[in-house]
Amino acid sequence: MNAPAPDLIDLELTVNGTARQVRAEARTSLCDLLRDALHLTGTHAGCEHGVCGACTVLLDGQPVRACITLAAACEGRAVTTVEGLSGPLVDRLRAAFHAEHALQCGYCTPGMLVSAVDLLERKPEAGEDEIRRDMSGNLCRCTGYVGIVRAIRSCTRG
Amino acid sequence: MKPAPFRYHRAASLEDAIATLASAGPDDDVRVIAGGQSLGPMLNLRLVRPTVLVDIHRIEALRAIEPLPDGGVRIGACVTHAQLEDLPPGGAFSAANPAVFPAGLADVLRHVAGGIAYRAIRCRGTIGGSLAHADPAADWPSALAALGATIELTGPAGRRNVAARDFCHGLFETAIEPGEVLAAILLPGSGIRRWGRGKHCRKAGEFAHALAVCIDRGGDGVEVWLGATGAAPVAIALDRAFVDGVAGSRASAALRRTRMRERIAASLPAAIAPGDAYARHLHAQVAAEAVIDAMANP
Ligand SMILES: Cc1cc2nc3c(=O)[nH]c(=O)nc-3n(C[C@H](O)[C@H](O)[C@H](O)COP(=O)(O)OP(=O)(O)OC[C@H]3O[C@@H](n4cnc5c(N)ncnc54)[C@H](O)[C@@H]3O)c2cc1C
Ligand code: FES
Ligand code: FES
Repeated sequence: MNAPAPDLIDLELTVNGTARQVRAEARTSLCDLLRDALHLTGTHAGCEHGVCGACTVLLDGQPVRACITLAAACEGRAVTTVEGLSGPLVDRLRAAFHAEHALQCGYCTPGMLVSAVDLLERKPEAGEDEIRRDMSGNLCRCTGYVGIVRAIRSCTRG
Repeated sequence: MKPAPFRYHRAASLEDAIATLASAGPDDDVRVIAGGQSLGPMLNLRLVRPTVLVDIHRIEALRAIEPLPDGGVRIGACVTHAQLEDLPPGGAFSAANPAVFPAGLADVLRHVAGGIAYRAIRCRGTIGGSLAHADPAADWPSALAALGATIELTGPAGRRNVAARDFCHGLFETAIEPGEVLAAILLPGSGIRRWGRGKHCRKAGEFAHALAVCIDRGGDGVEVWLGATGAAPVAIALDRAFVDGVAGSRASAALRRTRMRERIAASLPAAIAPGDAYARHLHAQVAAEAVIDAMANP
């Protein structure tokens, strides 16, 4: 079977508050669009099949895996990457990651921060068990998770 | 880790999606994509190489959760797991719609949806996509069979309904015919008296190694549905007197669970994990937990 000629799509989307127009192949993932076309390399590609969470970004405020979300599916929508995370909660979380040694190599950190912000917004009173369960979709090969869980806990109301 | 090239069409309506599926050329491999949470990994790994993708996830009509005139509930195929996880606690459809779900139904849906994968997957993955994909280890096929759901399919020849219990034919095989789109899941209006669930996985959010759902509507028998069996979901019927006897006995919780497990193990079809004593034990154990859990619910 012959592969079809690349299908190029013109997309308009908002990335970290800025309207962007990009042309991409239909098969491009949101992760590759962010990294290769928009040069936002904070979003990391790990497993590229939905398991590790390194590529997690917010789409219209909800966390999604950028590696298994087609860029073409994001037409007209708003994407927030780790570069665009801001506000008092994010400031506290960043400081807590620093204080609690919640990262070593930092590969998992962008996805950890995006998932943690979503968790803290939905469940501001989450306890340790709930944090561990809800963060189970973000893998870290360095820290052993203790510092990450402590950092997130320190940002809960409770 | 990049998909092979394909053409992409964002369907504006269900009719548009069906027409696009029908217009495929002889060399085309056209596929529907909804949340992409099963298809995305398969594309990236090049386990599938479709030439055309028809994206249905923006079709508004497929994204609604609505009450039916008969008291039942209609869930559009593209309703996400997260939408169901976030159903309001009181059983109302939404803040804007004061109609309420049949008793117990919203609790079951919320519980099943919330146990699937991780929030980022649940925010895109859809109930219809999960059923259409028919991974035996997925959560919805056995839960919807247990709930007595009906699956609504639409194709070039019109609309037809299939009972959820007959919908999955085996590993990745369903009743969907080429050219058809799964449009909705219809749930009966009869209330649920008690329900229970068991899911065993090694890591939170992972696909299950054993899965069971028990829905008690108060009839003569009690049915427990097993998922993650490697093929289609399987029902095991239990005698009401036996179930009540075990649930009401003064034996320790461990002993009651053992009696239930032994009873279920005796009915476990031979086709489930043949020769794997551990897996068969796990299926019976998780099913027993679902039944005991149901009987413990008020
Ligand atoms: C890391 C990870 C962990 C997961 N863990 C679990 C888990 O624990 N339990 C679980 O149940 N699931 C799990 N999933 C799968 C997830 O639930 C998917 O959302 C779901 O299986 C597919 O839904 P989708 O909308 O993403 O479908 P897609 O990936 O878009 O499509 C899947 C298949 O169904 C077809 N299809 C989709 N919608 C329709 C339709 N309306 N009509 C006809 N055909 C259609 C597509 O053509 C494709 O073949 C996991 C996924 C990942 C990536
Ligand atoms: S890179 Fe997306 S989940 Fe691993
Ligand atoms: S800090 Fe290295 S993977 Fe988490």
